[in-house]
Amino acid sequence: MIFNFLNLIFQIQIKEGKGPVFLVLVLFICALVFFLDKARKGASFKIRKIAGLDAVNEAIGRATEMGKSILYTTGLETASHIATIASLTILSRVAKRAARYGTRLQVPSFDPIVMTLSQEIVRESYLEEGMIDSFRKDDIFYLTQEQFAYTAAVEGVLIREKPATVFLMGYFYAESLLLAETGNSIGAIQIAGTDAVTQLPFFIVSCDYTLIGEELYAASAYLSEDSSIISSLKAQDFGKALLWIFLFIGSIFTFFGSVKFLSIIGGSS
Amino acid sequence: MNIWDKLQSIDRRWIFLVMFIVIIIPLMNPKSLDINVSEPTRKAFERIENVPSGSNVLISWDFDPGSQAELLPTAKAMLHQLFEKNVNIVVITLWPAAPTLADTTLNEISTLYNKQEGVDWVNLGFKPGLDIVVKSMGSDIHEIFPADDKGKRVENIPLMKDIRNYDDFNLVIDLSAGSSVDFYVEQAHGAYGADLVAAATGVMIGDFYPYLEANQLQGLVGALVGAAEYEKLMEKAYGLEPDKATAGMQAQAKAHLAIIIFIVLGNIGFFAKRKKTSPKLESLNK
Amino acid sequence: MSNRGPLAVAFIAGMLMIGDYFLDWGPLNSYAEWVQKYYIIIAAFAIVLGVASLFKLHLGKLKRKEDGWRYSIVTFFGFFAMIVTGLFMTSGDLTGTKHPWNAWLYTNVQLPLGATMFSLLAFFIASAAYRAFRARSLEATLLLLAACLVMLGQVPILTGGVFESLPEIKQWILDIPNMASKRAIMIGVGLGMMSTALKIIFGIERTYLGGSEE
Repeated sequence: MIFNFLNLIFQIQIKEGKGPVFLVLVLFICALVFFLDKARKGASFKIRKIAGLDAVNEAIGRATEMGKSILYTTGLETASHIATIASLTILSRVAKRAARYGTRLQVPSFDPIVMTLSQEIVRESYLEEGMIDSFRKDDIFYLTQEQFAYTAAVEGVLIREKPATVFLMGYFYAESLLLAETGNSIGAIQIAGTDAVTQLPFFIVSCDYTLIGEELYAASAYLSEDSSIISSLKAQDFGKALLWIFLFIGSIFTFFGSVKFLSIIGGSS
Repeated sequence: MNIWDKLQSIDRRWIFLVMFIVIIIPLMNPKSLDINVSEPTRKAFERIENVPSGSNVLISWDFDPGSQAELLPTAKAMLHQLFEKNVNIVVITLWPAAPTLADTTLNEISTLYNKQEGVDWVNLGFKPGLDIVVKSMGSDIHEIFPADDKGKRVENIPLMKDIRNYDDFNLVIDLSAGSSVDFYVEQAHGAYGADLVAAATGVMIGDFYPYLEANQLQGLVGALVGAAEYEKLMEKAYGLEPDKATAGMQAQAKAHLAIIIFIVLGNIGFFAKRKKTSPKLESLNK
Repeated sequence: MSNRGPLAVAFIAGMLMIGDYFLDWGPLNSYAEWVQKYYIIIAAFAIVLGVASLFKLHLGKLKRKEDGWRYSIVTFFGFFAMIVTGLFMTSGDLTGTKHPWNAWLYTNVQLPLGATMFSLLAFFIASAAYRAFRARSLEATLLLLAACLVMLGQVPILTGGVFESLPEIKQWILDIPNMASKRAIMIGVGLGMMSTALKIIFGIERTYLGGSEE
């Protein structure tokens, strides 16, 4: 009805096939607002332990004790990729800890815009910790946008600088194993996180901790311990429950040979 | 350090050396392999065989030198097949590092068949935009690719005179190291009804089998093994000598075996050591 | 420093792009197309920032004669070689990447170097598999068995007799358990992406802006 109204007044139409997706988005936003409201009224939400995120402080502490540096890479995608943004939110928290402990943090960047964002984020983190004098802009630098040239350069940094802790957070391609194995060979503790499903096995065999898929997106909420941000994880759980219901109903319909449910939700048989 | 400890902690440099040996020997001394051609590769071959002489085929060359070991042999075999059948070829790419590789390969193979650039084949080069480019080719290729890779206007290229969109191609082939197959299935096949064959790397191939089962792809050549299968079919049909894929397949086979042997050795050391330090055994020894 | 301005920009831009995805409305769709084109242009100019950073890093290394300063000379040499041959030299009709020198550098230096780096994967995968695939637990044993079966089924090394069905076993592993778990992870990733994007658009998540979270 709303869309008919919009269509009438503004000649706006919803694109073909996008109706069900729009409905799910609206439901998701409602869930987000609901749980956010609950959080602001004082509710606390329990989330399960994520070993990789619990190890972040330990990993930074290790670098501090050994007197070595931390290397953080935001992956091989641009700033418009959501995994890179998720990685930058984690970088902010890692930078705060590094500033507090006086540990050197190096961030080699694949993209110039990501480099600029990373510099700003790390600088602000150092400022908040009152350690702006320790901030080294040259430690957050651009390398190249060529995949294997970037990989070779980061491997060079790993072998020369021998950081005690390596964070591989973001979207990666075939170079994931190269980076992870090199980090392993220098004895660094490695925490990886990616939503690139094809690269997860390589991180799992080579890294000490791996954040699988959505755990990368949950990291910011998990590390912040802020219930407002954690409430979004509850909304994600709601989304999963909704999808599970759709899958279950769809399976029942398909089992009995009916495509009615599939056509309602806009799928093809 | 006893033997079981040594088995568990073989220096990685020995592993690298063994891998180097098992890979280099088959490459230097290739022998023919008994390869069973899989159904997806056979379907791809037969669909290309059914392209009539004189018709047009669009190849989307979506891989760069990093993936050429897996995809270039398939690309070459398909080019040989298409040129043998006197099919016209239009090449585009969605990857910035691909045009030069495509150009080099097209020049190398077209000269063997006396095929002329601009008349029998053309390389329209790279255009950024991924799915937007794939979608736009459904309406007017001339608009999205106003010139070829060398800067010549498409209206001055004889081959492109009668080619405007997917309707003017008998087949679309996507040689993909990424996920461009998804865009072609959705746009070229889904929206414009183009027939589609794809070749993909080993890491990505699993994602595209559902398309084959749903007949959204008419054939799928996967990884180096698919390329070797394709070379075998080309050898049978056209007497084309098996090339790098077949040689590479032997190297890959030996490499897989070497990895498995190392895994077994590591586990032997692990279990033997575990048995030796078992609490039950320690209590018996007291 | 107030974040209200950037948050407002993020909200308006985000809502407009969501609107473009779902709605068929000329002005909105044209705006979205305009934004996407200008993003590509801005990203191209951002390379200047990156190059400036690279120069500063390597010039600093050269000045202070830090460890590996000679490699900085190689970096500058490679950089200028590609820029000069690609932008300033012509050979008849051939300019840019078509110039023979630029093409030679690409074909004989850049391509083999890229292929070499990629080929390191073969060695690293062997050492990673040797180190990681130990039957420490039930899950580790299943992982180990699945890896071995897929590796053996992928190549024609063991054929005949009981090994005839290895390719089918491999295909089953890839099609059923592997595909199921991959899709489950992708569903989680999709929801996580949606959640993160909405948090940023609605201003709930602000760490990407830098500065205090007010």
